[in-house]
Amino acid sequence: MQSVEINKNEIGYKQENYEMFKRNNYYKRVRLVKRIVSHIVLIIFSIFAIFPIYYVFITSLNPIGSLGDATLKDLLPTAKASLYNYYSIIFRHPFLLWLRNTLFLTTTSTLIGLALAIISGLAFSRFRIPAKHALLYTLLILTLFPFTMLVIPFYFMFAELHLLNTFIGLIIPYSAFSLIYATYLIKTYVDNIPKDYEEAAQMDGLSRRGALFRILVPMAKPVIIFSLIIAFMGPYTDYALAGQFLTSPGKYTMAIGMYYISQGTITVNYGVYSAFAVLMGIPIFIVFFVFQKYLVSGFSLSTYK
Amino acid sequence: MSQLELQNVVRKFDDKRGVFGIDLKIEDHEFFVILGPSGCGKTTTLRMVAGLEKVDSGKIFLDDQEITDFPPRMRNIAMVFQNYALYPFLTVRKNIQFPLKILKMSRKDMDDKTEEIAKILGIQDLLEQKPGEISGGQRQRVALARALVREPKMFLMDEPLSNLDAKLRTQMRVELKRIQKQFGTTTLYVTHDQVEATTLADRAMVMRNGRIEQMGPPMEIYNRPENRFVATFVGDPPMNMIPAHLYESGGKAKLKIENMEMDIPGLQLDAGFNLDVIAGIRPEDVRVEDNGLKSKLVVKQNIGRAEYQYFELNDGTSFIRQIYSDENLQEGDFINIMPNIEKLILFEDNEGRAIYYYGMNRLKKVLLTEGVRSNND
Repeated sequence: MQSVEINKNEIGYKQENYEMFKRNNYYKRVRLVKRIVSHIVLIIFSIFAIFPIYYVFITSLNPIGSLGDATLKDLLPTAKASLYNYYSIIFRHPFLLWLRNTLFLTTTSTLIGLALAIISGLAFSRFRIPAKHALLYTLLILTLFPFTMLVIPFYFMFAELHLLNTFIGLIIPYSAFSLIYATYLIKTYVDNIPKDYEEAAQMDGLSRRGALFRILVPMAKPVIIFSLIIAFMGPYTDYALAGQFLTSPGKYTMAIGMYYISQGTITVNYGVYSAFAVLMGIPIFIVFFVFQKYLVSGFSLSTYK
Repeated sequence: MSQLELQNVVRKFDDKRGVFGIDLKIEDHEFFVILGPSGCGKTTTLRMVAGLEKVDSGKIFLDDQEITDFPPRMRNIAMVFQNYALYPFLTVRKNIQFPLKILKMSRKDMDDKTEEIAKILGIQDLLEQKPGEISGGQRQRVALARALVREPKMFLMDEPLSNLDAKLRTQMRVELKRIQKQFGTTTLYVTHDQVEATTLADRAMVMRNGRIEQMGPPMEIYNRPENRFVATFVGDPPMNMIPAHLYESGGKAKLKIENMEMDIPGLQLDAGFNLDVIAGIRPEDVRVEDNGLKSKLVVKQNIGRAEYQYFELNDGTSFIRQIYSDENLQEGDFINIMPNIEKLILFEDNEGRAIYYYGMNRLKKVLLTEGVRSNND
């Protein structure tokens, strides 16, 4: 009798244990399913992100006649794949001149824009400015305007100033545009840096201005580099403004050059087009790779604690 | 050689916040602590000395030179910040050398000085690291080194220990005192922690609402607080404040708390004098006595080296007692307690100013207000 009772108890205990095990297992499975689902979603979206880049790259190697002729087979390297398109762009067209023009325009306008943005960003963050909030909102609203929308008013303005078909005529709007949001970004970032650092520097013997430039600027390096890259991208890929302003081929930028040489008499030369796109993408890729650290911290606007 | 003097310094943020007239003289080599709750104006006072805060009116002198409107860099005063404010993009070595670099000192001299200071503070091994890579206590030392290295006329410290954990804080307190004595630099130190004030200060000043409440050596502030605010702010657990009645009977001064009466030996009162007062008694100055106050033990707290006992008197007044021995009392027990007459302080009822410390033969003359009769000399 006694032994039977003990057995009963044991069974009861085990069943309870089993229930517990089942419930715990349920949550374990839920976690697994959540992970699988989120990975599937991420994979689908990365295909959308990566496929066009792959397509451009493969098209630059495989000769295809027109978009209509393209088949799935063209997505893999064929026997006819070659680097001819690259050769043609670099050696049979003034590619290096366009590259030089583009780099000159982008670096000048980026540096001018950023230098001004650092000064105004620091001022917005640290000084009393009349109507500061109104000015900041204006800045924010200005960043919402698409650049392309401004091409026509800019054209009239610069025609009056006789600055069409000059580099200065492009550098001014380029740097003005990057100035706007770089100011906003830098201001937001510097707001999060405690004032103690500048004050410590003043106690250590620097003037107020010295403290701002020798302490805050190095501390704001992540956001400055982030803004530099963003500011660089705009003019680097700009077609709308440069296409309207620049008329002499000697002043063409890469974006215009790309259009100019890939446009055949009747059809578009997709091979050349793609190869050009890859060539233009290389510097951007390198920049992103080198400054990855700053890009991440720039995006999150994380500061020193 | 440096003395600091503040003459009626005022900085007003609004009607309630700010500093409303501080007169202060800090002697050469002195370690002076400003103590007060948050928002009392202690940091503002320090920042005005530093030059980081504008002075609305009044004057600040450093060694007989008026510096009220000097920019911070011209004052030759070093400051240690609460969060240390080490430049995160520079190595520890560069951080320490920063003030010297601004003085355009030669590379070799800078390195020599840095090594010397680093040795004193025990941070020689950290010189090539970045502030982000070292611990809070080490950062604190680096901040001190940066302040020490250029041999300033004065140190300002704004709650420099409050970001450290309790153990490290105790250790750094000792070290701070040692370093200050070694260098002999006049120091102005701001804190809300009364233990820091009592352990570090040669002299301290208690502030509240932008005004000075009391100034003097820390033990004097502890033993002879000038008012109820100082009495309860300095000391942990705070001083007990018990409503009492002071009167004259048969030529003797007597104090009545609830139904307990005690003589105050040596105090002379006018015939017929009687006044409601507040008796101030430190938790460590309470003993058990049969004819004492009947009180109920509500909560016991053991902190290891001592025990805090929270009592309730008949009328609900709460009362804290601190003992070092183990008494077998249970929560809910009733015992009779008695204040140590030698440590008794009496405060007037409404304004809370101290009118009597043990040993006085007359009540202290305070500003006449309703309720305090002019029995004093």
